[in-house]
Amino acid sequence: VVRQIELKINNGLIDANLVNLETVKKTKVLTGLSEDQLRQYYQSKVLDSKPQIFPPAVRYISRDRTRLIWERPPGYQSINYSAAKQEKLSASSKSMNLFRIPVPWQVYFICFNEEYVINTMYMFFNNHPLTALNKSVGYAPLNNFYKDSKLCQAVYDRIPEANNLFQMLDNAYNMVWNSGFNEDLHECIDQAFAHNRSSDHPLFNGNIYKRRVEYYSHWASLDLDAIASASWPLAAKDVLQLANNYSHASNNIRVVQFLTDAQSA
Amino acid sequence: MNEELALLLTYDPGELSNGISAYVIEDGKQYDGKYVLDNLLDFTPSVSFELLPPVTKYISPTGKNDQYVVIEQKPTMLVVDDDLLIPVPWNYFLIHIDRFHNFKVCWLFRDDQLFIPDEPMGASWLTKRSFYQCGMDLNEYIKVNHIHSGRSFILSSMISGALSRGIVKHHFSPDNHGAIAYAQMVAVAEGGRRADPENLFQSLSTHTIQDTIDWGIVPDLDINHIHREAVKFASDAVPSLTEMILSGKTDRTEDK
Repeated sequence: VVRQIELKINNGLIDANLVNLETVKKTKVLTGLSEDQLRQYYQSKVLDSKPQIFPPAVRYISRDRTRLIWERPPGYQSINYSAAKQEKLSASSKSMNLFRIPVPWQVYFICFNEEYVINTMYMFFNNHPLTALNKSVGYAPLNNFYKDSKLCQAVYDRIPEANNLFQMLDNAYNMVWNSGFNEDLHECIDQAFAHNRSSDHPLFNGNIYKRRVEYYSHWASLDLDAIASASWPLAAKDVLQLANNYSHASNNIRVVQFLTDAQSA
Repeated sequence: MNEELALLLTYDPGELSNGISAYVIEDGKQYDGKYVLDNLLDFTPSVSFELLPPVTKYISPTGKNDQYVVIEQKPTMLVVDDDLLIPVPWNYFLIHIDRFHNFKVCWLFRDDQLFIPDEPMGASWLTKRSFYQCGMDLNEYIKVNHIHSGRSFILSSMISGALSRGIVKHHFSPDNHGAIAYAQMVAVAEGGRRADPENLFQSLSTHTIQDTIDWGIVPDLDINHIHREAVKFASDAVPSLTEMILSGKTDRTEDK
């Protein structure tokens, strides 16, 4: 919905309306707020902010500090995979398969709120560290990810509470790799196979897997150098643009909230 | 000054900048009001670095004004003049960038990695008084080293520059307060000999990284302190909405 905030300043006093351009309906946001009040409120918000130190490898954090991109270097991950859907998994671990797979550079993008609750998370693969944010990134062809390389909602719904950025990233990373992979979701693997254009990709090219277990078995048999240097099928052309897309939902609300909070402060 | 100004903030989900554009309507003309959004309505911290160096530890919430950044380096041996290897413990570059993109840098030491904002970070040679005296004018450094504009690029270059010899060399020039005080610290560690900043590298090169960690640090600055200074500066610099509209507007009428 395209909306406008109308601000009128008359002799230092501010009136504001929120206008829905489709219905032409106006909602009064504030009346007769003095500029001094607005400035004082701004100052109090800034002075109230707490210092934060960043975990290693944070490559981008949005102005409102609700969107963050971080990366991890290539390495090995031990994953548990079950060939069944969650509802058919037995309580025992008999159906679990353990694989130690080589993983290339990973780029993680998360959206979170002021209480460090994550509401969206992506993971991408890369064959080099990020050199700019407007560069493309590739699919992470694992179970538990949607076709755009976004983590399954059910997984990040289970991410524990956090008190700071360190805990939030630790929890998120842990949930991606240690919460177990199953057949509830395999869109990202399907999408990566469909989009693979490389004739010599060690994971995709010429490989037909009758069962997913074979896929992970083959992956586990590859060496780290082969995986780290492979070109991954394009998942997003511009990771910064992806991050910006997630700012739209909250920006207008934040401005309105700021003005109304200033009025009542 | 006109008594009445109208500001329209239009929310457009299709726009990629930040979803909001702002226009000032005055005397029938339309002016770009993005400046207002950037400086007042968006009260949240501003990060203008497009790609942070992976070792970025802190960025101050100072909007479009002065900015403070802290960058972390692991304990290492640095190559300095005449190919001497000198040990350094966990070390932190505190970089101050003012609104005109002038840079100043302080070099801080710790005996372990920094995890909590109020943990002390400093060295005996760095006091609050000498905070800026220890800093160097990076504009010169940038000119000399042909570093192009763009904060992210400059920060990345600064790390590699520091690890070669740029910042280290400047910091340890004999007339630098930090160098003299640091030389004194090394001298004390060596048994109370007279500080000799001229031969500091030579002296340091006889030590190990563990020595520098064992020397310890005198608590001085912490990120809480830097943060408080930064937000005070930011809040003092907030103009009124009217001032911002009048100073920041650019005529958009011709665009139509």
